[in-house]
Amino acid sequence: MAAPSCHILTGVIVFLLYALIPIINGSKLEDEFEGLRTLTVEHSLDSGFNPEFTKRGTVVIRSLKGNKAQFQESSPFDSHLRSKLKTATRENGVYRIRMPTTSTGTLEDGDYVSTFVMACSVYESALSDKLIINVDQTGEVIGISMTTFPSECVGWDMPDSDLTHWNTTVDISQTVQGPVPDTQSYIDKMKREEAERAKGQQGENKSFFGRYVSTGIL
Amino acid sequence: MRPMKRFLSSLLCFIVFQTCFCLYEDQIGKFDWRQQYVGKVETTYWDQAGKRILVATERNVIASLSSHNGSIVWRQIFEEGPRGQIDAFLHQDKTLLSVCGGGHYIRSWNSQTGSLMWEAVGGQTDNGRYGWAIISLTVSEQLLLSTSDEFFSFDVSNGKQLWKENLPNEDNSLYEFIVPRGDIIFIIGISPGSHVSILESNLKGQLNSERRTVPATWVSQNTGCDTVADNFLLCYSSGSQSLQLLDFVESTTFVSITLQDIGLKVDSQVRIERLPSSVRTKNSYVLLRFNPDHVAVVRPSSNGITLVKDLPGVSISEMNQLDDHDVLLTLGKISPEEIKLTGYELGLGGEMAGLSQIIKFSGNHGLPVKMNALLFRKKDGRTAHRITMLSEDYSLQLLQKSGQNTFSFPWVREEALSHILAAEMVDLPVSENQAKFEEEFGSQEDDIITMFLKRFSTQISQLHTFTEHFVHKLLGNRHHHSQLEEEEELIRDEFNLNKIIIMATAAGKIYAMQSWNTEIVWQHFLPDLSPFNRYGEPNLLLYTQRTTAHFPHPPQYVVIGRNKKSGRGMVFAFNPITGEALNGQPSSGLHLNYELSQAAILAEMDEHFLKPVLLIDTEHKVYAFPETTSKVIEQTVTPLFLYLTDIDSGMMSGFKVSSRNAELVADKVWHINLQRKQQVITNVVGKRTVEHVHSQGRVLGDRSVLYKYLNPNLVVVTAEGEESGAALQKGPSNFVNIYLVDAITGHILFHATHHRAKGPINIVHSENWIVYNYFNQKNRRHEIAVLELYEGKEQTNSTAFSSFTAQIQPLVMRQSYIFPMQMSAIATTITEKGITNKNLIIALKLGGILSLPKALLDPRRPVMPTPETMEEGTIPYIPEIPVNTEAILNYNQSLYAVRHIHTAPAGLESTSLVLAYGLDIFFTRVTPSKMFDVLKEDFDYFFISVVLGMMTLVSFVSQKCAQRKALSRAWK
Repeated sequence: MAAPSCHILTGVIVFLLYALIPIINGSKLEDEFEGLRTLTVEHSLDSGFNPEFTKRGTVVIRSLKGNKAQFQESSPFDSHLRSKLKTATRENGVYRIRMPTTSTGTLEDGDYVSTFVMACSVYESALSDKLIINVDQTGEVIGISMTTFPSECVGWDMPDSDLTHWNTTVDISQTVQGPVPDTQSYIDKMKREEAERAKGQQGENKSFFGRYVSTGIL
Repeated sequence: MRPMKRFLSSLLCFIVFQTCFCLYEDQIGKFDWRQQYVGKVETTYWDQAGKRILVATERNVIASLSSHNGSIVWRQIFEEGPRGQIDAFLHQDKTLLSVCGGGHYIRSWNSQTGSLMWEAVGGQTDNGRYGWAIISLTVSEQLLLSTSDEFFSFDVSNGKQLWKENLPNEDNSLYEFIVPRGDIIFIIGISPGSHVSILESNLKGQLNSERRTVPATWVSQNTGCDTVADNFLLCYSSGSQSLQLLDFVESTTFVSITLQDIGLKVDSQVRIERLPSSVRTKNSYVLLRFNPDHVAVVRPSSNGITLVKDLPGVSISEMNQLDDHDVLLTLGKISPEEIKLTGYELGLGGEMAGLSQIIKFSGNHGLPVKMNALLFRKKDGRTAHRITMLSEDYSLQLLQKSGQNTFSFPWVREEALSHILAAEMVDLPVSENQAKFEEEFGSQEDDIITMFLKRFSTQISQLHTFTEHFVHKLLGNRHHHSQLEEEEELIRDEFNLNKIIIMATAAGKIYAMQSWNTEIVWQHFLPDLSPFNRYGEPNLLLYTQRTTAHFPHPPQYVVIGRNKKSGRGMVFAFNPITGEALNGQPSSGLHLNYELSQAAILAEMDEHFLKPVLLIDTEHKVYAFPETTSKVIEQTVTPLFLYLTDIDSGMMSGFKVSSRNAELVADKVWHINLQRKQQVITNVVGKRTVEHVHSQGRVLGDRSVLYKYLNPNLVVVTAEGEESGAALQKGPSNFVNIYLVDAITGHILFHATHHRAKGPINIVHSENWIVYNYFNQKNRRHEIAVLELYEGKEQTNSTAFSSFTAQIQPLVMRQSYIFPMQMSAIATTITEKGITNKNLIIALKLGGILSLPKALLDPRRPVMPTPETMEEGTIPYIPEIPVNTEAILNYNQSLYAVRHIHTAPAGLESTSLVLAYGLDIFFTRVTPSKMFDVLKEDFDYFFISVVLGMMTLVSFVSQKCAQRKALSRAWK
């Protein structure tokens, strides 16, 4: 009788543990990075001073330190955009993206970070690109950059069927610690060398006469 | 045994790298020189009956100059910044006093030797704010010092504080004047917008309890006031355009007198010229300034103000005394090359014949600004005059009678050279013959016959000069043509070691100096040129538009600054060899009708080998300078990009330049936000355009190549701020952030933070590495960090670099070291082809210029050396960078307050030229990899040729012998 109840008990404990682990993990995540963060990405193929931006999708950051973020497309790349992209490619234009750094209030020019690539490289890469979001030590977004695969323009013609969906990966680049003088390992090294030297001397701690005896001269 | 071997090898490595530069005693001054300056002079006094001039300057220096030749007899340099700023400088009889740092440090000096007699601490500087201080000496040798809220008295003989009183300050009074009058001391304070308050104290520091206030609603912080004699306060109210006079001993109201009342018809604003406090109480005249070249002398009395003299066309005037007569001396420019000195005897009214004269005066000094005259009778009864004169271009000159009755300037100190903001070294033009060569092969349009004719004429002229030289040599020095030699002087030497140094200064003056003998070739004063304010530091831009290499075209340099009056842009293009204005510009510079926000020089050249300069105004419109080059910009195949940094908002943005409707415009294409709320951008440093990188990679121990990441568009941005959670930690906590930004795409390649670190940060950015320094607050030491960027073992594009196709995240290797000293500037050596190793040139605050091999600042230095790293040649890691005294370039010629170091390549690959400037100028050569391309000076030609000769002879003889022997053997 005792054995099954025991099994049930352990089963319950195991279940509880399994149930709890994600919760613990989740709370830890929240503690460090204020939960999930969603950032909007807008894009434009216009030229000139005031290009018109439309929504391209959202970037969901799951973990800053773990460099875990995903891009979610808001709408497919339609024929209107396709024709715009082709025109921009012909005219050696640029493809711009921007991302608001704050979500409150009305957004002004200074509330965005933005970047661009040449339109031809977007076209020739068949919409496969990588976004790099630079985040500083306090978690604020300081910059965004973008690169396409391949990044070079050769002059290829792409079929329309390849230009329908974004194939985007997102990288998070967080501010790292600057270098510091490595005194500790140097001191350790010195100590080790000292110890080795001391050991070496101990081995030779014989009398002048004794040394000759050991080497077998006498 | 192995560790020992390792240690020895590392030591050997170290020694080899360390002893790469030092000087023999007899080499001192052979190719290095130092020039000492004092800075823009603020106050001057005559000392030792006219033998010496005591000066206090804007560069926080006090000095004694010899009036004989203008040389520095002694010089004392205070700290840079507000701590060392001279508030007051006073010389009376044998006493010489200076007050620095808002009344904090009071020092007494021996005026003959410049040694410190005593030092006392006065007003406290609270939380880094520095106010001002005024001092005055009483009859009983008591020094009175007043700061914004305290009033002190010191014994002049020993610096003991006699007493201290707090000044009532609840009404924001600024106590600006102390007037000792017999046994009473008057302290006068100004409350802007409300009143003037007068305090009385006796010599024991007992303040008269009641404070008198005189209503004066017109008074503001900028109101010019001065005390006259020992009972008047005279102010100029700009609102009502009237002089306000107060007899602070007897009266309780200001008397308002308009300029018309005293017979002056002036529309412009009036400034009251302040006198040094030591002469203020004796003086009963006031100098009013209307314009840089219009002044008037008035005399206040109890009945009002009387006009003594209206002096249009006069820049400065000074009251002086001779035989108990009041003498008024005036100086004014009457033509671009002449000034007029006039002396008036006020009691008698007339001009003094011996003191009135027209003197030749170079137009390169602008208008006179300040003068200080010394008039005295010699033993034989004749009058002697010595006048120090400060001009608009910061130059200090002595005006004195030479010969019978003519005045002249025996010397001039070009003190603008201690305010250099930008410097470049210009190659000298090649000789006539070489130029002809250039001409011959330079043009491509000529047909065969003209080319042949050209070659023929060149060779004839070569023959001609050769025979001429030969004849000269034969005739010896008898036919010494000084004119010919002068012409020859400005010709490039064999190794292109001699250059002309172009220096643009804060005074708006440009100098060209010969690097081999410090002689000034030409100087040009632009009265309206003033520097930009860049990150709190003044800055002028100096670009090379065309070098000396394109012979029939003259070389062209351009200085870009701000117009002093309008704040708009100003450009001056000139020939660096002659100083002539180019492009049909006026010699006073070209005034632009827009404000500048950025300027950049392009790498592309137009058909006349001229590189266009892009000027961007505050509305992001782009202009090309000169305008004819705008075609080049339109025709460039690759689009042009620019970047701007806005420190106020902490934003960096990038622009793409395109032409629209025949106008160049800049479209914003990227934008990064460097969080102004947390930090302030302090540096934005790009690479030098003249730099060549010889080696594309680094060979590792295993014979593979680590390719360098060589992005010419990379800029280093640093920002400094205070930690928000500072309360958690003890002591101050700042941080330094460093960003590597691609200026084309706005991509941040790398960003790092240093916690508990503080600036000021100096950056060197060259090839694929960045070196910067900061102060570590935690360990209270200076540290120097290095970042090196590598692409990895494969190169993405070996022919051309493009920011669009480059690797996104290059390898960033980094290491940091302890640097045992504080530094004020860093630069790196630069050579013609970039083959020579690089050295870092570091200006130490202690006065040395250190030449440090870059190999010591290498992030690949291993903590545990392995055979592989030894094969690669890296030095084992030691956390501290040693400062070797043998590597101090300027041996005992200490340099203080160095602001910048400029390096330039010489014609010799091994040699780099170094110019350090700040308060002083120092020039030298460095050879980071030793003189590998030149035979040593003590090379024994005779011995080598004797040995060679002997060897040839021996081989010849032995060959003969061998032949004979072989022959005889064959016969046998």
